[in-house]
This record gives sequence, structure tokens and C-alpha cells, in this order.
Amino acid sequence: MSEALGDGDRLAVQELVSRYAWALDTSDADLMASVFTPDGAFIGDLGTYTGHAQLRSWVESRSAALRATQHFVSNVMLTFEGDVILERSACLIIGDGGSQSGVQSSGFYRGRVVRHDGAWLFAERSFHHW
Amino acid sequence: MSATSDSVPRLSAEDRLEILELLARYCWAIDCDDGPAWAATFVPDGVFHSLLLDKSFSGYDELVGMIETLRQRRAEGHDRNLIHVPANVVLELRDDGKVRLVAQLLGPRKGANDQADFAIGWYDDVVVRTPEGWRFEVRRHKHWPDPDLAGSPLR
Repeated sequence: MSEALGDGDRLAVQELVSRYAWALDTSDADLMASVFTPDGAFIGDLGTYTGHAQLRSWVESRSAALRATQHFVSNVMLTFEGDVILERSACLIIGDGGSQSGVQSSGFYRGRVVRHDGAWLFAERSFHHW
Repeated sequence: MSATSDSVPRLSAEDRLEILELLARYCWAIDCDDGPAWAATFVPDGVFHSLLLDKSFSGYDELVGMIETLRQRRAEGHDRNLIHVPANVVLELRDDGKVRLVAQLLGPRKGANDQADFAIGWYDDVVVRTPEGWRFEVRRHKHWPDPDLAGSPLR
């Protein structure tokens, strides 16, 4: 059914993935909330965060060390099933170690993206280590 | 651009794909030491603000010259930037019809002792439509983390 997904929709979801990374890497709570539906959830190493209030709190509580990282997302695969887009993407987390930076972690995301008020947003997203 | 039902101009899918390919051609050119190809991704009076060299390069001749400068630096033993890996690209259409391109940058590099590490940064650019297609008007390579950023640079 993925051929039913138009170019504009694919690009919009690709950009949604990018905006999530920017929100996390710059600890921007407002931006993070904006990429999820109001009851959207993120599931990660440190727990599950459901709804905009919890998502904001999670982003705001990230330590200074984590704020110096970048989440490099690539190999984004999108599958359209009914009215939901299933997202799978690879992620390389690079940390700022001063003059030298190294790979902090790598893994992949599983996301469920839905239409909400005319925009594609995450209903749920989870991170998994390789 | 394309119109929407609420009459707010938006970038078309075709424009977005063309700009993403411009970014890819930029990376291929600089990573292959191709000065003319790299300069051709800019408008004729385009400007690149180099974090590495701590100066700006303006116009075709200076942009081509920058690639030669990088090659000379490597010959003198400075780090070799292996490839430019942009990620998390976001395109924002401005009211003046120009596009703001924001991207994170991963730059694997090797030192003279063959030790490899990563340089990381981000780009804050202006892309414009020309008769030849989309081109960079300004590219700014910035630090990561960026002390001038309070939150993300996105709207």
C-alpha cells in the first residue's frame, strides 16, 4: 500500500523525523511537543512519556551532557497501512567530546505517524538499540 | 511553490527534492575537491562562511579558491575531512520566496596520524530559485553545540 503515499506526504514525514531530532538535540520542549499528537508517546531507555506535558518534561530534564549530542537519522523507511504511516529509521548518536567526538550509541526508531489537524504527527515512537 | 486550500504558499515536493539534491551535489563536490562544481552550487555572488578557516568566501573565484586552500592544508598535515554527512534537513519557505535550509552535519575526519574522529556542526543557509535551479545564496557552517542557540533554530 506504500505506493498510495504521495511525494508530499513522504517529504512531510521525513521532515517530521528531522524536527524530532532537532527538538531532542537542542532540548526544545515546544518543538518536541509539536511533532506528537496531543496523546502521543515516546518510549525510550529512560521510560515512556505520554502526552505533551510529559514529553516537554522529558526534554527539559535532559542533562547538559546529552544536550551536546546529535541524533543522525538516516535510511528512513515509510510504509502506508490504512491511514497510518509506519516509520523505521536508523540513528547514530554522536556526542560532543570537546575537540573529538565519537559514536555514543546507535539504534533505530519505530514510529506510528497519523494525520492530526491536517499534519502528519507521531502517535507513538520508540527507540531501540542495535 | 504550490498553493494550498488556505492560500498559504508552501514548497512543492519537486522543489524540496531539488533542494535536497543540491545539498547532495554540494557534498559530493567538496568531498571530491571539485572547486568548480562546488562553486556552481552557489549563486554567482554566493557566500560561504567557513567555520574551519574562520573566514568567508564570496563569489565564484573565492569559492573555487577555498577548495584549493583545503587541499593545501591537508598537504601541510592538517586533518582531512573525509565526507560531509548532512542530516535532519528542514526547509522553511520565507515570506520573500527564499528558503531557509537548516541541517545538522556529521564530518568524519582523519588526522595526520590516521586517527579518525567526527567533527559535528550545523548549517544555517539561504537557498534561492534561479533560472538554473535552486542555488545557495548563503551557507553558514556553525558550531555544535551552538552557544548562540537557545532551543532549536526552527519555527
